[in-house]
Amino acid sequence: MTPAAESPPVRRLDHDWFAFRTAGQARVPAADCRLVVSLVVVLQHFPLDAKPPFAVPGALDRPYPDFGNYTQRESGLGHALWRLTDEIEACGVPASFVVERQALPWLEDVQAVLRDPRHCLVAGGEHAVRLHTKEMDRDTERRIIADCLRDVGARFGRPVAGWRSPYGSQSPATLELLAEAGVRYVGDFANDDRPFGIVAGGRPLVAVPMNHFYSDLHFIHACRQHVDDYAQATLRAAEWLAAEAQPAPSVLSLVVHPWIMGATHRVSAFASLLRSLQALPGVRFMNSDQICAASVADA
Amino acid sequence: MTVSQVLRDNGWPFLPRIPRGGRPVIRWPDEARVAFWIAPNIEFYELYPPVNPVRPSWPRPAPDILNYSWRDYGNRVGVWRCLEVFDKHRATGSVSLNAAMCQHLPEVVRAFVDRGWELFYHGLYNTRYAFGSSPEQEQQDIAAACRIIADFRGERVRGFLAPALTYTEASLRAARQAGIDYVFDLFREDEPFPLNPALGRMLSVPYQVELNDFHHLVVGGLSPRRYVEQFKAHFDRLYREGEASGKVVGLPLHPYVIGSPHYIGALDEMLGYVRQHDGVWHATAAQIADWYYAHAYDQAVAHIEDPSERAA
Repeated sequence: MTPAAESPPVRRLDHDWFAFRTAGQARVPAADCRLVVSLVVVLQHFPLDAKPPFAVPGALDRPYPDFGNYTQRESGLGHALWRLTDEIEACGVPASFVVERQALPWLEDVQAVLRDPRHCLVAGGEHAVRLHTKEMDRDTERRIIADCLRDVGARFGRPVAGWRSPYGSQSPATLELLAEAGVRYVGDFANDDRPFGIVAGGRPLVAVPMNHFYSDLHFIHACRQHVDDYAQATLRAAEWLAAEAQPAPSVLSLVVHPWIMGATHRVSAFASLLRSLQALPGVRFMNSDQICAASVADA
Repeated sequence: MTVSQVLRDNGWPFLPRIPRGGRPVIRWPDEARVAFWIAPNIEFYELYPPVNPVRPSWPRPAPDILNYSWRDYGNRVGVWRCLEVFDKHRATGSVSLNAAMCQHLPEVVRAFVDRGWELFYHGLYNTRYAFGSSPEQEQQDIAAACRIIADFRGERVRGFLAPALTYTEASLRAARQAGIDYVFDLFREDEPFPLNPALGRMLSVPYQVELNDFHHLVVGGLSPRRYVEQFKAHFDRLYREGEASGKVVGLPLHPYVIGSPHYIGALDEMLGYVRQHDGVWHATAAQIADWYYAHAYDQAVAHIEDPSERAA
């Protein structure tokens, strides 16, 4: 056995993408704000004939052709999405829409929302279960990233600065390819309530919180919680984060999937949650482009 | 499948039966009904761990960025939030520690040492499992990890919780041979209990899986409100039973779970609830074990039924 004192030096983290939380970390500027709430709406398309390479929550998990789950998920690009966007517009809060490339043909009816400069667009990959893994070759992944950035931006006539992979999946090359493609920020990380800097392939990225484990997909779909329990826990989380706002406010990411949160029996409770969050002292809603821009300015 | 001779040779059954009438009456210091200790799991998960022959380290292919970064949340954010709540309630306990944390992120471990918390063995990394190890290798691995912790803390490591609750048939014997005095992997009882004397002088100290935040908030999906209710019911029952003979409430926690903003309020409420009660001994696992060794161990061992009668 080798005594610890004689062991070779150990790296603090076992990668070079970012540092443990120390000086130099990007932060949302404080101003008059104690908490930033970031509403993230994920627009997923589940092809009827596609299976993910590993299990993910919400995928079509019955044998082909899974008409039931397919159409229930498709409500998230139709009625459930319309309901949800109606509530978001009624509250007047900004949102970040993560758009998968294959979801684009379904979004005609909400194009006014998606063009609204109050909101921003984030590239969400090819489709819900086109997961990025080490088996995806580099050229294929590069093309998927480029196609999604180009087509989502072109469809709504707006630039796309951010990326969020389907189910947070990444290959060993994903971050480097995103940075190479000019992406400014990525929402795949669940390790902080504040933005932080990443270096991938020698280029900078910002990790903007879009935490899957704070999402309806996690709490309601995977954990089977009632929407009232989800709303109560989210409100308590906001109060806790607002109370610990020093030295800078945190970001509470509110990640929702319309096929879950836009369901008839949930959407009103979610709208009430948005209003409760708006009423908290010192809370400011920001979209992810704004958070990224503020973080870079303050880093 | 029947229990193998190898397992019998390694001390099975680990917890022999002691008849209800032969058990020592436990009177904790100051006549406390309940000994309360907290077990934060301070863990390092590797992005590309070595492949284990029995269990994958991650639910998804490497690099499992989503789950890796979630675990990283515990060391980066959650643990500091937990420490504020621990300090607020003057809580104490024993850290279930991946030894590699002493090397990678020593400031996290130091924060507990500075507060007087015990450190105990919980593997080298939480992505390296005992499954598939030979007895010799397992004993060497345990000893090596304990040495890292002992060098950091300046104190012998006495407690054992297998990394990610992974075992071999020889795990507990290997732990004893590495100098371990008490283990937390045996979930049968709500009070300390002597292990089969064939293993040597060793105890089980309750680390209650029925309270484990990961098991109930993540696997079980409980809302924080329900989790608090479950904790209070658990505590209330043992507090009541503890009037006749002392019990242990051991609270296993993971900062990447309980340290999130959605759940931290539950921890605050639970610890506040415990502080509302008189007759609670706030202790480390080592203090609980030492008290049991000094006051109850010999009587309990004297009443153990012959394990061979039940080793089926």
